[in-house]
Amino acid sequence: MFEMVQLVAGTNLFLLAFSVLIFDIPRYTLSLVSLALFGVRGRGDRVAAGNASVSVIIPTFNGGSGLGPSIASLNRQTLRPAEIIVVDDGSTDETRAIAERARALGLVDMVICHGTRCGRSAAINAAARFASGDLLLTVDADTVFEPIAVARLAASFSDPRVAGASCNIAISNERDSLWTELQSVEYLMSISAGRSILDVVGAIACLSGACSMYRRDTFVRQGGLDVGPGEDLEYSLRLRRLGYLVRFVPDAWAETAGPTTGISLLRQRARWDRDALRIRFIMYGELSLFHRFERLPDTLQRLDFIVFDLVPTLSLPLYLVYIVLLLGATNAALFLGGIYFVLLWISIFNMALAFVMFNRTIGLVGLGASPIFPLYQGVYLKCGRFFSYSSEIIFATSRRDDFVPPRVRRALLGDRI
Amino acid sequence: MNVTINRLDPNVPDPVESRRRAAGRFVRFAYATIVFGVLGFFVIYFGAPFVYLGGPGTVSSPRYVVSLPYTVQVSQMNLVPGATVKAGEEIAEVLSPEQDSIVATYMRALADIAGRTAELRIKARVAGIPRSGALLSARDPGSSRTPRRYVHGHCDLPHGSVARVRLGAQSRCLAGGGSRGVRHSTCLPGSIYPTASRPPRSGGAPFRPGEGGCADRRNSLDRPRACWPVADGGHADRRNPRFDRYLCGLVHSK
Repeated sequence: MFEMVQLVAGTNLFLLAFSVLIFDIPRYTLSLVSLALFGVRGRGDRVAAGNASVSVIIPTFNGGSGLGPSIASLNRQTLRPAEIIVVDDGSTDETRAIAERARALGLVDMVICHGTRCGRSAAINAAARFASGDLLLTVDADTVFEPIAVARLAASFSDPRVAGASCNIAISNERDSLWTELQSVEYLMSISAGRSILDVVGAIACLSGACSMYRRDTFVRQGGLDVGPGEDLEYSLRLRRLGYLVRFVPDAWAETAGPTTGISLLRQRARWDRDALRIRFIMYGELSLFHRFERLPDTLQRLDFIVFDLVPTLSLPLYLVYIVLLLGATNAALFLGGIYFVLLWISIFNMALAFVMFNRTIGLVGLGASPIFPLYQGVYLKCGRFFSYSSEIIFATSRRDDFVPPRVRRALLGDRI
Repeated sequence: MNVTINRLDPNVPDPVESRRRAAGRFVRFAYATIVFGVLGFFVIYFGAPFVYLGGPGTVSSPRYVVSLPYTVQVSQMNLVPGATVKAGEEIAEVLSPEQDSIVATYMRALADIAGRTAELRIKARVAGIPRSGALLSARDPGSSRTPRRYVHGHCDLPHGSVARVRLGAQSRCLAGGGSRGVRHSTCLPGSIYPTASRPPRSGGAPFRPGEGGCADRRNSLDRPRACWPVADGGHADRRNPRFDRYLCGLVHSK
């Protein structure tokens, strides 16, 4: 321990600053402290206009098991949806039968069945053509809403410039495993706290596909969602580029199921990270210095990703090489351990503040997982993110993403797969 | 539903071409080089100790030959694996029984040489041999010819001693063979012929240090020592190779 402290005390500021960036901890400290000092802005407190109608679209592929609770939570909303449309995207299990049964019971207004799998984007676009509400709420089959969530989401569209809004997300199965506990804490930090601050400066980049609301006429006029992967991020950036506002409503809560194992978690994050890199940098060119019609919130949105995601991830291996060469393997491990120990206290402070601010409870398992949270977020996920970025840059791996049906990929990419 | 779709706004990327685009070739190549370079660094840095077969630990400094190889026993090691060593620093203490044995052997040989030198000196004085200018030759009693410039036949040399007489480009080394007389063996010029009390080997086997006779130059341990001229003050006349004489070992006229 003493050696650790000596090492940390004897290093230069560059090493210390980069190590802090690597472990990702103070990123949310500023957000949380600012939110605590000035309060979470409750723009959703205003009641939605009386004539706001919401059409809920639930695209699903073999997701029949989660359909029931999701439909039930939508039917319990204070602002009842005008219609609920379930799109069966070529499911091979009992999903269609479950949806038809719900329609027969009057819980669902419309069931659209695709004979073969067409992808999530096609399913939502098809449902949007048949929707009659002013607002479209796209929901994953395993997402459950709290009763006032839809009303608060709809209230944010009172500003005519707003074309999209997403709600706060929590993990519904957080007690299932250590990984879901860690994801629960991570969602609290990155989504609840992080997006709250970004919403204040108007720098929201991604409307989560699990629970997002769009203005229907804008959605249809802009051609709806593109072929994926990453269609939710792509549409959000498209709206920003066209001059619309995208919002985050922190007090509209929804819960969705997270991966329960480390490998499935890595696969999910790999998909998200690859999509983020491709859409931001290759499609939208966000690494360019100047953009036509770019405003300050757009610049902040870009910088948030570049400074807090891209740079720490890509510099992690070079930083490790640097400290191993500088300090030797043993001393480098001691140095990182010392940094981790120092930053752990900040991480615990962050978590405590987040739990208090967002009125979440933490169980014993969650409490036990808190000391390893920096390791999970700063090392485990970062290594996975580095691998994803590398595979996307070198091999364009997102072209082979199996969330997009093969025939759709072939039609889009031709012989480039 | 009649809706005008405005998907191809010039301010947003094309939905098809932007999806087909990939990172440029230079970016891919540069990035792959960096990534695999970093990977290679870690593989070599942490894997080299498992692969490198240089023995315990890894010596990174260049090798310097300080002596001929010999067997040692390490009695004390002042280093741990991974330590940095500066020039001139003591790193270990070794014992060399082989070296001690070799030194002892040579010391014994030198002592023997000194003893025999003294003995021959006394004998020469008793025999009345002058101190300088004598050509040592063994004369064949049966021959009327003038003494040849080679030694042959029986030679009164001490047992185990070696005398060598050079005849032009050829030199012959003689081993004192006791009752068996002088045995001839042809040696190359410049060979060393250390002498000792041990009898020479039979069968023409190469001699080793400590043994009498001709040293086998093929054995690196039998490193030749330079022959020295006659110790009685006579000088070797290099201009007349017929009269060159080099006596190694014990044969001195003093």
